[in-house]
Amino acid sequence: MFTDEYLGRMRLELRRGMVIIAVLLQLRTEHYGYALRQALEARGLDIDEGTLYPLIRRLEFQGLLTSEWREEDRRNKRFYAISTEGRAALKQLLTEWDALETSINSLRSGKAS
Amino acid sequence: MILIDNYLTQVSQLLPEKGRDDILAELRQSLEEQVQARTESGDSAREASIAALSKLGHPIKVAAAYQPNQYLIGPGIYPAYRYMLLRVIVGLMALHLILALFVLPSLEVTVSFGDVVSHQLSLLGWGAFFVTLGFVVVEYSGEKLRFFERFNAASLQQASTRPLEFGDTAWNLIIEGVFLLWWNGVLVLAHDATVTAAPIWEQLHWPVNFVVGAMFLLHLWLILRGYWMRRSLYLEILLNLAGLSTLTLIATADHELLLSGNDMLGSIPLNKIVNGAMIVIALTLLWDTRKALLPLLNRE
Repeated sequence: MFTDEYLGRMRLELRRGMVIIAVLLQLRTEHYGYALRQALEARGLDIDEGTLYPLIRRLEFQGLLTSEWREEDRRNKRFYAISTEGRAALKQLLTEWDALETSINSLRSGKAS
Repeated sequence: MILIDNYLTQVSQLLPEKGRDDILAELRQSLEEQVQARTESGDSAREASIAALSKLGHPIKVAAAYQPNQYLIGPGIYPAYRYMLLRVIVGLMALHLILALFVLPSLEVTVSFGDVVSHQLSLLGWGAFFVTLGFVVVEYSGEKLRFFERFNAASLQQASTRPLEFGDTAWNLIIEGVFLLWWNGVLVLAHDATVTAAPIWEQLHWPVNFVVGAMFLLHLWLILRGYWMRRSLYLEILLNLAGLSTLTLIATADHELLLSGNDMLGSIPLNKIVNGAMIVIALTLLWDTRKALLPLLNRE
């Protein structure tokens, strides 16, 4: 039986890859963690900190982001920005995204052969 | 801020040492900023801390998200782990029975049913431990299982005729192994009892050993292999027919068995038990023969 739990898992799977693209896009401008979360939320993407912070650390470890600790408003904050490698990866991911979107739209409209 | 301090202490205990301070500093900065935003909206510091921490979630959940591996054995190698675990355990148990069968009689040592079960359980535990340990090492070392890479589609030409029912085959193997131990006098059900048997039992000692031993080896090979092939189906049918013939020989001859014990026990004729057991064994052999025959008939 299809339950809300299954739907929840599917949504999670669907969002997982998309969140990486969203973060890379948003970090074309430098942000610190909390501000990044707020910026994404303002665009309709509510990602909890427990998911977002480990994700940006992983992306940094993979070389797609750079970071530095800096003081702002009398607080030490870690600022993240997309790296050169990150931009190249983002470009490829967006190409993939566009292809997927085209395919899904084609399927939705029933034009698929 | 004591709530946040205590929360971060709990998280820190669950984080890997590498990068721990950095992660905690980032979490603290984020939590403090959220608390500040909420207090500016009118919440008390305590209410604001509780709300921010509740939103972040349980310390274990938060710490888990920072771990590179979330499991001991991941989904990529789990099917191979399960495959190997079952076969190693059954292989070890079978090896133990074979060793007991060949070594213990020369030492004139007999064992009870409880001894056999406890040794088998101990082997099961050790086998499971070492296979699990091996796969955990593979998982954490990042090594790939090379036989995955060496898959050769052309080898499927010798395809299985039907998949193996692992539970059924393992059960047969256990029964045959225990039977062989008992038949050869290694497994003694009651130390103070002796069995007086009609001559047919002595005459069929080696034929029974041969038939049941061959069944044992066939089922062991099948479990290690994982599926039936045409020739193993033929062999299964042949051995089952040999088993049925042996049972017929026993049933048509004088096959009296008498259990004699101490004064209290007296002498007990075992004929009803033996006849009942032979009927069960015969029905099982017939059923197994039918199961082996069906895929051959359907294919031809």
